[in-house]
Amino acid sequence: MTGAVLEVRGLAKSFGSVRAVKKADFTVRRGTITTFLGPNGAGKTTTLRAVLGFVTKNRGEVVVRASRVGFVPEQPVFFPWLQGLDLVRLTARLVRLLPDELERRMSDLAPQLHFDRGLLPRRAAAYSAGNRKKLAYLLALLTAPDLLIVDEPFSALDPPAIKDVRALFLALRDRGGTLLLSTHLIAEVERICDDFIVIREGVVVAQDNLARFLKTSNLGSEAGLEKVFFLFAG
Amino acid sequence: MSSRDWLAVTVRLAWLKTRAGRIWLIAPAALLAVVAFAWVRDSYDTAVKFFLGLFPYVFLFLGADMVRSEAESGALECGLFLGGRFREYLMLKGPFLAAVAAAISLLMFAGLTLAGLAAGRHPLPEAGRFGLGLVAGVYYTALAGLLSTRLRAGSNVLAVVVAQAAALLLVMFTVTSRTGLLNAMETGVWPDLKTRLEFMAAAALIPNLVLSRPLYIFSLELVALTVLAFFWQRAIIRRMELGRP
Repeated sequence: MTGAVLEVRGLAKSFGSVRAVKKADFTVRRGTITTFLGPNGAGKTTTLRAVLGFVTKNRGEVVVRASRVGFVPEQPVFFPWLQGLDLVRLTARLVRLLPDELERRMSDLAPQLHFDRGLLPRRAAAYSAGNRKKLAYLLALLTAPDLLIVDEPFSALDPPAIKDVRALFLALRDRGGTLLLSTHLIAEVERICDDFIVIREGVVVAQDNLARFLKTSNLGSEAGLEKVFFLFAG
Repeated sequence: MSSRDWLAVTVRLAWLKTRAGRIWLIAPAALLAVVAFAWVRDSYDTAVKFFLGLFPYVFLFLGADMVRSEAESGALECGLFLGGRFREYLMLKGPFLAAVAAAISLLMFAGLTLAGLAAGRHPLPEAGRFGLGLVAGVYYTALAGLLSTRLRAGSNVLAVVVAQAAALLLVMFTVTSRTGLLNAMETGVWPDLKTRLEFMAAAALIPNLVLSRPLYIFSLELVALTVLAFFWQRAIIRRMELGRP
């Protein structure tokens, strides 16, 4: 345990009369991969959007102790008037990446993501769904975030890309980075997940370290993240 | 990330969008064509009058599609706009577009002045009207920005143009009962408060009217309305959340 990089206390968010998130309390430990689980409509995405500042929370507190936060949305959308290269340059400008360092990071990340740099002079909005997702990863990772938040990390990606992204997550964590992954694909994150958070009907109902929880719970030695999910959210 | 870095990114983004829209080229080109036509067919003075009467529309047309469509597109939900930075981007677009339109207008006015000097005429006495046109133009940008918090794509501009056309039709069909207002606009003498208020209402919809005499005192109304529209838009954007309806 090396301290919390993200603390969410008593978060609530409504859209009109719909209470999307009723009470979200959780922490994300530095240097971990935390999986945010919940059935459809449980409030995962709304919680993330409130944490990221895309929607305004009605109640609660969000404390981020990261100098740089990265975000990859479930289905990245880009302005139709921007090329991939524009987005790379804007991102680099935002974090003051010098050209040499930008090139070094691009040369490092693009092959890891199997992202074809030849696409960059084209309009990003016209990329395939998979390439849009890869570009979103590329942009987020270019900034070398110490907290990376990903909504549905594997959507639109093919199996080789899923494998590459999983490896990237592990590499980021090994360098001291922190990841918060919101996903339905439990099997894909099970092997890399350190901690889990479960949200159900807008309320965070469980949070723990996965290995510790499985050791102390009576789910059995064969149990995994899927059983944890069904235990709390099923 | 410093606020300076963020400002540079925001300005760059706004410029990329403006550049891609082509309206920053089309609107001045159309205005130039009208001015050239007026000069060729009539006189330099007529050309200057056309330019002064129409250049505030460059501000209006540049103000198409400023807020709502972008907020609903999903494109602002990315790493560039975390922590509510999308609001700063949306708020900065108005002043940025007004600055672009002012630069284009200034360039065109300078060109017209030089062309006039070459032809032995000069429109410098019209500099005051040009200043009033800039006030009207900035008001157009503020109005377009405010409307774009509700109206999608270019419908904010369309709404202004349609409202102006409707107002002109109304005046045409009721011209006999509006001779007081028309006379006052012609002479610059305002017989009563009602006429002044009528003109103020008309100028709020068609700000170019303040250039007609020129009517400097009424430009204060446009300045006040610009400030009001700007702060109203700002208040709406501060409460804005991202997401598709």
